[in-house]
Amino acid sequence: MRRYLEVALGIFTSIGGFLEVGAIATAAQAGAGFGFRLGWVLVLGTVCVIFLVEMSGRLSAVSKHTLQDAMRERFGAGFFLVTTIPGLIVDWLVLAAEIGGVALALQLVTGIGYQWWAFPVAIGSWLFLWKGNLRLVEDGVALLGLVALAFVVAAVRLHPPVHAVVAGLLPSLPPAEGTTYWFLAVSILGALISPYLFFFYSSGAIEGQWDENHIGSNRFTAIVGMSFGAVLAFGVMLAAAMVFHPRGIQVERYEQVALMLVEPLGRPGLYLFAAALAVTCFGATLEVALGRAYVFAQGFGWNYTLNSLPTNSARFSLVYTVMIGSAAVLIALGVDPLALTVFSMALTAVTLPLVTLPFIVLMNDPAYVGEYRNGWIGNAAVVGISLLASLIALVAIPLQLMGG
Amino acid sequence: MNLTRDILDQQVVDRAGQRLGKVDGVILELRDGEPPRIAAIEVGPVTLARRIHPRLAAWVEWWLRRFGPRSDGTLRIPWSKVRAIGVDIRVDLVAEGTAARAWEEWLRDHVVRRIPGTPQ
Amino acid sequence: MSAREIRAELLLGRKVLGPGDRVDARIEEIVLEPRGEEYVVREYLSGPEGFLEEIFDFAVGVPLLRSIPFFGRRIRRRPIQWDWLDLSNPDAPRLHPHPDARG
Repeated sequence: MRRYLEVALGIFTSIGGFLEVGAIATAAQAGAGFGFRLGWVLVLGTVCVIFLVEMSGRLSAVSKHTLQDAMRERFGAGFFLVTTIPGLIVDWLVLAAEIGGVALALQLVTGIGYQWWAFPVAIGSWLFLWKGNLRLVEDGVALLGLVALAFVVAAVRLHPPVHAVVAGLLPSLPPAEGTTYWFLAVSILGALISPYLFFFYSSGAIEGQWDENHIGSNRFTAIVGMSFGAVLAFGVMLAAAMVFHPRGIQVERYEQVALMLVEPLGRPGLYLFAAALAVTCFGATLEVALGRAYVFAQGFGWNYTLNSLPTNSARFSLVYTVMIGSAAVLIALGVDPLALTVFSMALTAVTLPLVTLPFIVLMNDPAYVGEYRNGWIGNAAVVGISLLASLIALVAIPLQLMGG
Repeated sequence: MNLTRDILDQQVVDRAGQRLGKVDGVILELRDGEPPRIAAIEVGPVTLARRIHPRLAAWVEWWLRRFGPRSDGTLRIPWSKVRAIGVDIRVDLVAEGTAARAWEEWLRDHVVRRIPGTPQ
Repeated sequence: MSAREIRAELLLGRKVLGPGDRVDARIEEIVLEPRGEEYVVREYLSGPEGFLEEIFDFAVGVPLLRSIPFFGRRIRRRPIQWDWLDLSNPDAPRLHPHPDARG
């Protein structure tokens, strides 16, 4: 039963990996621009993430190796280096965007410019990792992340028309402005299906010393954890759809997004928005930095753990330290977090197939997953996801140039 | 047993289960009239870099020898020390003090321990 | 490194030269077998030798292109027994003519 409490890992991963600066921005823009019509993209993204997260967990529990371990061991050093360098650049940009998200939330509340918050946020995140352990990080952020339920509360209070919401859950073609529609669809998927999510989750499984007994709880965690994030993201879209869409307001800045909580919740809505933004981006900061540190340590074969002192994994600890510090510089220099978010989502989409394709091989290799190989559903899902990821990778940059 | 599938790029762990690195290289000994035999496995960033390009390896080696512990981090483990080949490659060594750990230990002592507020 | 030692990780992906310096294949895998306390090379597995294959296999890590029907037929594959490969120049492995080979 205690294993089911490890759903906290799922919720944390979900809050940091699923609902973060990119997801909030794209969900709000989708709601503002197209009402409920892009709901199906959220559903699609959630389903993809659930499958991939479950597979990451199962791979780790059975093989006792993380996803990155398995990727180097099975595909070789060439594959590791070819995939890790673009991944590093993308993660660094995403990390800067997340730090920017927290900084923006603080700007909303205090009025002090976000550039000034960059280093305090960086130091705070770093301290959390340096002093804490994975349990603290997971449980702490999962708990704090409950404040993001404000989006759901707001959405409900706005009384969205149920039939329109449900209609939006089914795929539909855009009524007009096709380029923007598809660009938003691709952005949402890029924001939801992030590689660092899987690297982090699989590392968390190893740190938690999962084994074959965890297969069931892993499935539960993947479904419940990711669905929780999906519900939150959906709340964002619904609230934006109710507040902005009828008025034809396009979301251009984060300060506007905050308004969607103010209408249903009054003045506290502003603070709740800032809190939700801060916590989800904080969680994402930790997750991206850790995810990248895990990838380095596992790819090169170093010791890595957050569950003991940094002195026991010096290189691992220094990777996340340098990542956070250097990413904060971008924000301190005044790079616009929202623009950075949009840009890094498109780049994430481009690197996605490199992460999803190996699953096809690994989840069918008995050396890694033993008797817990993918059934036909799992394989159909992973092949489908890889095709989708490849399609998204191809159109992401052109769409951004055309319609973003 | 296949080289790429079972040995190369696999995780090496020491007697205590500490991670030493991935198998970046394998040394074969050529013999007259006899098939080549595995003499050693090698762990190290220079060995890894050489698989991309020898010039990259030279560059990496230059940097590693210039700073920090001034070690290129290459550890050659004789095949006789290999105890098990399975999910990891277990070797009969203690990781602490080996060339593979040179940078880890140097960074621990000269950077990590010096950061304020770090428990020792 | 003594003159009698070579790096197996660099041997992988090297083109094998046949008679008359014709490129015959590319070493894709080295198969080992136990002999007493040691592990010795039993044979080398070869694969297609094009530039495309080289880049692709390096980047992807598994010989994928050969499973696509057109590419797979480009070269006949056979395992190369350990004594058929002359490694005196490890950067250019060469096939010994097989004792039973005709012509």
